[in-house]
Amino acid sequence: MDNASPSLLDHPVPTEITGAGSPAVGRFAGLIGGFVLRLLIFCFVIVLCAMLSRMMPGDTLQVMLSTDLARGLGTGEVQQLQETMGLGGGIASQVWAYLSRLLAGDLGYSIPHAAPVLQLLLTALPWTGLLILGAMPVFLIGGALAGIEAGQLPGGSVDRWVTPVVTMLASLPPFTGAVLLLLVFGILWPVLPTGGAEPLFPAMDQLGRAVGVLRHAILPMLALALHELARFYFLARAETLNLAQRDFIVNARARGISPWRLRWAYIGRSLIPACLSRLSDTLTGLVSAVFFVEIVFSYPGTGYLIYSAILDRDYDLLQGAVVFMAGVVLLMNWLVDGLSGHLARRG
Amino acid sequence: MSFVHRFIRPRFLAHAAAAGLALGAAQYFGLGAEALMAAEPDRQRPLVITDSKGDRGMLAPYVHRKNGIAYLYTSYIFDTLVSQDADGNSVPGLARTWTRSQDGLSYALELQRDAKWHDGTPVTADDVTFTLRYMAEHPYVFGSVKALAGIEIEGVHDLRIHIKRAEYGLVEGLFSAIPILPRHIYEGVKDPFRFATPEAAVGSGPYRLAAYDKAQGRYRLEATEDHPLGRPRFDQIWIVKMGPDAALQAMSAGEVDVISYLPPDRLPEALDAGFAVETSPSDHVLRLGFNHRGQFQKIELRQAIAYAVDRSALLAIAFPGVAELAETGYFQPGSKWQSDEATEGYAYDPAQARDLLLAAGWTQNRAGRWQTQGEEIRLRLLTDGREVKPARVIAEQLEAFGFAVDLRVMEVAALRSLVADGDYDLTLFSSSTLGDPGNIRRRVFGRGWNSDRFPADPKMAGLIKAQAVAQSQAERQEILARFQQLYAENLPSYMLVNPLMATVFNDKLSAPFMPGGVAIGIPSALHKSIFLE
Repeated sequence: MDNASPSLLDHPVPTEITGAGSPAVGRFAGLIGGFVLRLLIFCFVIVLCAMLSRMMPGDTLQVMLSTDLARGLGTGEVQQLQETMGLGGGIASQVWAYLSRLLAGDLGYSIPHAAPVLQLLLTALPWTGLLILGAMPVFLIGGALAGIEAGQLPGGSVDRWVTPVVTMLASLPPFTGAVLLLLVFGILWPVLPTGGAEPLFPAMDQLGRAVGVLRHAILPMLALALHELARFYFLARAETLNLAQRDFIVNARARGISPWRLRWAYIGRSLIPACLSRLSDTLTGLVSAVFFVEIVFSYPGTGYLIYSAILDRDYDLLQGAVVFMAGVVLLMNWLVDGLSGHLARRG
Repeated sequence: MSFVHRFIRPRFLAHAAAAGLALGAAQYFGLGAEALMAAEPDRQRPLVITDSKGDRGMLAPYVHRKNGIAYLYTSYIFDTLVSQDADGNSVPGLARTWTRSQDGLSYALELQRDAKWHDGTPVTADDVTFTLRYMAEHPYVFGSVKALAGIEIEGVHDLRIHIKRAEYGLVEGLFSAIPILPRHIYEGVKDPFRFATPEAAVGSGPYRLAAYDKAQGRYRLEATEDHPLGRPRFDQIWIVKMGPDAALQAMSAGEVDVISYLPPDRLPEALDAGFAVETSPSDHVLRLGFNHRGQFQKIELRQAIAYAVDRSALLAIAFPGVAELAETGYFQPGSKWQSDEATEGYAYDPAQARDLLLAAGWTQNRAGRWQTQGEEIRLRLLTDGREVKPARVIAEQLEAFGFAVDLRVMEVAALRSLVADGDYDLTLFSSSTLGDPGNIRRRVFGRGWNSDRFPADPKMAGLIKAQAVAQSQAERQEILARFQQLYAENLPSYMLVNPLMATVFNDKLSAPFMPGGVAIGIPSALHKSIFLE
């Protein structure tokens, strides 16, 4: 690891502010600056979402009453309901009321679900988290390993077979991949469950339940991983190609170290900073991809919740989800940037 | 090796990922399903009903999702004053008897003596009075108490309800629609739309809500003891979320007993597997609506469109084997209100359509395009995502007839606002014709996007008023027969096709769709009476 890899320096390190006092102070100021910037973006996103969602035609109550079985409520009744549901007044006053509640730490209340937004999100987020966390090792490790193999012998058999397949995968939008997986492993060769997060009758023991949950998570995880796999495959392949020319690798090869040690300790470890910095923009993609994947597999995560929130004009829920998602994405983005900045400096 | 590097060593990353997964999985064990699985492992397997959508909200009157199915599930838990038998006739519910006064302005009700709330408190006249007053204060979406003038308690189980006008439909309307709430629980609730704790679901119905898992969309209902209407047939009923394909598979494996709504195009699979299948027209009729305040004020123009649309072709292309041609006079076959007299069927007749349009002053240019005052007529046809297929067929038929058609497919909320603004010529929508005819006023003359939005025609509106205060069912039927003639002639909207619905049962039970619909007019075979002995 003593040899700096020039390719790493090609990656922009947005949080770094150079030339401000001692390096350590400068680095710290850079981190804080990055945080403040992201906080501003976060506030902007929240206000924008609060405004935009209310500018869509219709409101929560109207959508709620759109069933033809509902009786016709009188104008007075509708007004009364709008007041109690916090839908009275103009957009500006509604948004203002929402923001002041949010500042007080109240994420709001979903009227169609008749539940506090926080509670809804807390029930749904673990499932989404499982899919994202489960997909990560698949595309990180799988993509990197295949990329290293292909990059070590460009034009070799691995490269010739895997690269076209991965290129094809990369061109599939996540929901297409999900539908394809569903078709193959759920219907044509029905070995895995096609929907939900648990079997109809979950096993009574913990281990049995865990197995059930994992079996249901496999297809959505794979669907989620498939798309991101390509990014890391190409990244690892390109980096490996670069590294192969470098002295410390040539040296190591000449010393005759084992091929596995070369892959893991030399190439693999050098790839980590590049992968990390790529991960920060992958996160945004993952969060939006999980949305489609959950809908295809009727998985009980945030995706379906957000989808229904849009159709129901469920403003509080929609905003709550945005607050959560934007917060997590920006925070991770900040952490990963800080981390990869640190690594790049170390070289 | 720096601190940071220690954290990014592959072995550490692998461990961290594994720990994360384990934590994530552990998180689940604390959630939901445990509550469903609690207790009674050895008893008879519960009755399992599948629902393709799943979560319908907490099953309490004010907080369940506002649709028919959520209302239906809630009706297993909350009783109404009047219930229905298998043929859809009114039979005792919480009220053992109801007697209409001579002048028709009041009803004396005698409640069941042994009815109890799920927490053991007896149901009394006080609860009924409370409910009706509470619903006047907090509007209940599926029933109105506006017709009521006052309530008198005449005993623990006796009360008299006074009404403003001698309306005949009260028994099948209000009394059958409004779930009675426990006073001791709802009394202190200021905002029932935010009251969704398990306590909110304490009713007096034959089943009580034992567990509800929102994320998985599952309900577990448990039988109550000593319900006045009969012994529950099943110790437990589970309602679980499952798509149609999975449900068919699970039914073959003996895991589920009822598929609540199977898309009719899957019926052959269910029949091949030997399950009992109940089908019925949904009476949720697909209609072509007109903008009565725009291009289609004149009756001749509406009739012309009706003759220009080939409903049989529409049926064959967009609904092969999964719908029937609809009756054009509002009520559909099977309804006890449908008259025997034939109404105009508007068989496809482009020549007739042309004559009507020409008579109304529209002209056709040499290329065959329709014009008015020298300008080509462009029809804006609105629909929502569910009706895209039939909308395309209709658009094509009208194009072929010489109209330029702008088909706009919108989601419901956006569609509503366009319709409210009058920014359309034709709409394609589905709306029910079930329930007590008292709801015709809203469905035909109302301003909702899924109403006909027909400007009150004095003759038709008069008939609707007259049927409400008619003194007998026969008289009501006679008035409604005239209404049907006028409806077919005037075309507030043009009834196109009546899609079929299907429910699949295994050998544990089966029941036909309830004629006339359940309670407020829900097309369903799963009225709670089939879960009672």
